[in-house]
Amino acid sequence: MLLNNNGNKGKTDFPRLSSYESIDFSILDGAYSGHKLKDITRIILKSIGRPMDAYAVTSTLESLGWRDIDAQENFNKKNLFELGAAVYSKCIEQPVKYNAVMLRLEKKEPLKSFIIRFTQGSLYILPIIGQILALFFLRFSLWASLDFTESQATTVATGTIFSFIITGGFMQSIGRDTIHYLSLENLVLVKKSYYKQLWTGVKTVCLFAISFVLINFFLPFFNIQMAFVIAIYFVLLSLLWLSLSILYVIKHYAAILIITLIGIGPVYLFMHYTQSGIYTAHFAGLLTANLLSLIYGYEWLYRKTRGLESSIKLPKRSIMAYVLSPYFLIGFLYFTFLFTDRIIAWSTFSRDPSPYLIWFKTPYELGMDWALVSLLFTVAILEYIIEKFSKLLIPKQVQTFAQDSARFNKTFIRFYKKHLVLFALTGSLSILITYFAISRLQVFGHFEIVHDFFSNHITFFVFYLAAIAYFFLALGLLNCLAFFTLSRPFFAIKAISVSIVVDLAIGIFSSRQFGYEYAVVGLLAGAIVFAFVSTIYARKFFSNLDYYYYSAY
Amino acid sequence: MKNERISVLLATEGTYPFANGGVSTWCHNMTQGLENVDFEIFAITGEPKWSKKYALPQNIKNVYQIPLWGTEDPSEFTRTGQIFADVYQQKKQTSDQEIQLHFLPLFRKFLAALFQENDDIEDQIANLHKLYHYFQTFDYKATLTSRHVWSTFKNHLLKEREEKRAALPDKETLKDVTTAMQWIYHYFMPLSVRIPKTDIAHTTIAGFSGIVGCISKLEYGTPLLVTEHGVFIRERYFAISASKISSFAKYFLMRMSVYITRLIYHLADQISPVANFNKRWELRFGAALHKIVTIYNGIDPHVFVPGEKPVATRGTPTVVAATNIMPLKDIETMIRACDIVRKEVPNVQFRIYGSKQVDPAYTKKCMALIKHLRLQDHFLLAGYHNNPAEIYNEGDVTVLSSISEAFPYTVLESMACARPVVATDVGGVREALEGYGILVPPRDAQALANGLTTLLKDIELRQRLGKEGRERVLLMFRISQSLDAYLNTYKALMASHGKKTEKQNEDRTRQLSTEQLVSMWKDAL
Repeated sequence: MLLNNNGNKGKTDFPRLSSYESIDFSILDGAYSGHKLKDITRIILKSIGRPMDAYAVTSTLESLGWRDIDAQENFNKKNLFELGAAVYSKCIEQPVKYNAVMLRLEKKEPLKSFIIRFTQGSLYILPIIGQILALFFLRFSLWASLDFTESQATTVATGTIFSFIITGGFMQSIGRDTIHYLSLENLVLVKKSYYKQLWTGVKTVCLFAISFVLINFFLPFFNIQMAFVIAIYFVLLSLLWLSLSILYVIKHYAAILIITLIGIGPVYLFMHYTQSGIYTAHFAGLLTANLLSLIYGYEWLYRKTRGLESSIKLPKRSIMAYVLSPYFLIGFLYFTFLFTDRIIAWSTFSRDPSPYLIWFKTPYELGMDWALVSLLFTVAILEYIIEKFSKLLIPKQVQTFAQDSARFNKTFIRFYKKHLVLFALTGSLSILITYFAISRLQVFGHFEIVHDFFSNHITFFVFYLAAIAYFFLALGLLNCLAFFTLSRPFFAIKAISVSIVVDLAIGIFSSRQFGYEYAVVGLLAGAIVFAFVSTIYARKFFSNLDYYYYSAY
Repeated sequence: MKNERISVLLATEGTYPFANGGVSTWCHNMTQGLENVDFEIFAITGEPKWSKKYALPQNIKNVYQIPLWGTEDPSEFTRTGQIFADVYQQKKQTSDQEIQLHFLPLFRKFLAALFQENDDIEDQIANLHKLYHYFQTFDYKATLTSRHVWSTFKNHLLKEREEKRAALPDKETLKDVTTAMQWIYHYFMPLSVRIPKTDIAHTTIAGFSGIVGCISKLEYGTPLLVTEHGVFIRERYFAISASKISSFAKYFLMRMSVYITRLIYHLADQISPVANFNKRWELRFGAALHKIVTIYNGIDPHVFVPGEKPVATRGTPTVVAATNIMPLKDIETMIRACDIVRKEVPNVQFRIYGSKQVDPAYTKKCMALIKHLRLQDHFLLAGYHNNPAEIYNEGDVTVLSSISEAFPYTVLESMACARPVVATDVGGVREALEGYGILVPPRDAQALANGLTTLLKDIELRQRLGKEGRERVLLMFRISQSLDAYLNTYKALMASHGKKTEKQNEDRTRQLSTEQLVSMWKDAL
């Protein structure tokens, strides 16, 4: 999952009113006539409301075409400044309308809006659902297969995990930077930033792949053929994540779904019409998906930047690194955390001896995948809550008087607590629905795979704990997305760093002590710590929200 | 001094070399024309995406762009000469403790000055100078986004509210306070720039870009020249008043504008409006009369030369205008005047050259009025013309119906083309046109029509005014005269300050290490 709610404070939400920006001269329209002080007062009040002072009146009168001579002839005033002062005195006799412009009451949010936002949140994981369905109906997806041997599964899973961990940082920093420039409507820099980071990502991926293969020559974690295949999966999947990241930023979820589904086409063709095997089929599919996503992203960026001034440069590399490094780190840490338990589990010496240091454990992975399904609704509600939080900030700022800033913060603490309950309910419901929905599959118990699935207690054990772990993970993510909304990545970094340490310590201990499946206990402990630490920061965050809102540049 | 080159720090705001327009044209003409002057341009822009619109002459040595908005970190632009390791160190050393100890006292004084017009201005200036020094040592963003600064700001506003309940406008919302603090952050960004030493500091507006001029004066004693095309403070008053923001936000932004204008006027050695008309406002905001020396804009009489009317308009009584279609130009009155003129001069043609995109709604309204008055055969909104010299020669008379102007080029350009002008008597128009064209009150279609009819019918008067108008331009408003005036001003200011043009003291600030700056700063306190 790409944590793409970076600095979502959005477009500049306050007026700039710089000296060089155009002035709204429409107020001058037809406002000139009048030869009595009360007429001028009316004109001024209509044009600019209650004036700030007498100079505001004079400047407006001047802009309306009044001159000193008019002040002398029509009002017996020495000049426009005197006339301005006289009109100002009249204006301030008028009753004041308190912040009439700013104090617009927020509309109550109807159910429709909830449904729309919730659906939008669900769209986010549509491509994953697409792949799961392909797996179910075709027995293979873009990079997985139900017919993998454990050796093949180890190969693909290792490539996949590496791809997420190595590109996680890039995906996050691409998201952060391009969303920033999108909010400034600077599409040229969106394009430049994306391609610069994409290119750096590609170089890093290649470097890692080459290093991995070379290291395998000297320290054979895998046999050399396997290492090559891992490296190819790693490169192709990494490129896919990188090329899709811009599509996530521009929220073209349907395109992502279609591209990843089209990518299954070549896999199907290779599997049915050639004897080349699953690896080649996957490589063809991944290459296709990569090409399509790169072309789609390029075409979109090209179309949006065509004819625009292109000489504008990105910030210096050092500044970019300084600004983006926290987000890069979060992406890296997040995916590291997400896969730590698997690596711990797969590297545990089990009852069945493993040929390599890391060896895929099917029951464990099935449990994890099953638990992942439970995130469907949880992620949707998470997106909904964050979207609502972002949208509520400005109206609440407008509705709160300055001396009541504590009330503003309390409002959001209440908002947070209320939505935690909603989150907890949805998360629990999501776990239950997933459990029962998948349990219903037992009716297909005559299929070998389904039979294996339900006959292994490890799968259930992992599912139970991982589903709870994902619930806490999602809670931590909820907090982190709130931090990102106001550009506070360090809270998230601290929380997730601690959780990785806990995951590692408890995971290694329990898996070595009780069995490989107990690595999931590390995930659960890490996720709880992640949720706990980030919630502590969230309390701090919401208690000083007025400050964090101000300083979120 | 005769053969020595003069170095000038030229501060612009939303104009040269990143945007087109009158002030930019003036800057470009000046930098191109003053070949013996080296310019260091400090250009405040909106966002970093602004790109240069002019091919810069050789004597522009550096352009420092300071985008007020849309940067990840101001140091990206304000610390261009520094390696990032130094910038990073500055950020690291900007601790809460340093902010509380060194910045907050200055910040409190600054806030007090924003709200109290009659405070000791020398004290405010000294405070501004200290703020500059602070930001040479500590990081701008880290400081202004600190929790202590935010709470100090909030508390100060609440205190002001307590003390001046009656004087302040509507009760401020949290959004107002946030916006106000964000304005401080953005508008005062020039304080964090490292300013090089030059012989002259010249600011093209008495606004926020003028901060660099003020600092140059305070830091190096550089003479400060202010050119005002419009009057910053007058335009701010109108723009802010007309904006749709809360009354507190208006009040606060205006206080910031007044604060900076007063400081600039006080520090300026010479204030040069482009028309005497501007003095009225300058004097009221602290400009000393003896400092105000009007320097008129000039145009190139070799570019704007009288010519034959082209075939298209030959034999047709033609009125031309070079103006964008927007309410300030009061095109509606011009249209109504056309309706009156055609009754006297049935075949009259009005050809208006200027962008129709500035205010599309207003353009639409004007077109509807043309249709309503059945003037389609008489009044043409001809769009943008890329050769203004040709515009005037298409017509017999030029018209300007603006309700507000500073010192419009269009009047001079038409006069140089020997085409008399009928213009509204606003701003500095009278200073150029009185006795050489016809001045009428604004928003008075009948008076405007009378002036135009008189000139269209009276060929002799038209020719005489045209001829005399060109002579007046040659005598008073040539670009060479304007350039000479600026060059002489530079020399005079340098002489009066006893400054030598050699740069004996290089920019010390640039050479000092961060540690030295910290130590200097602490010593100064």
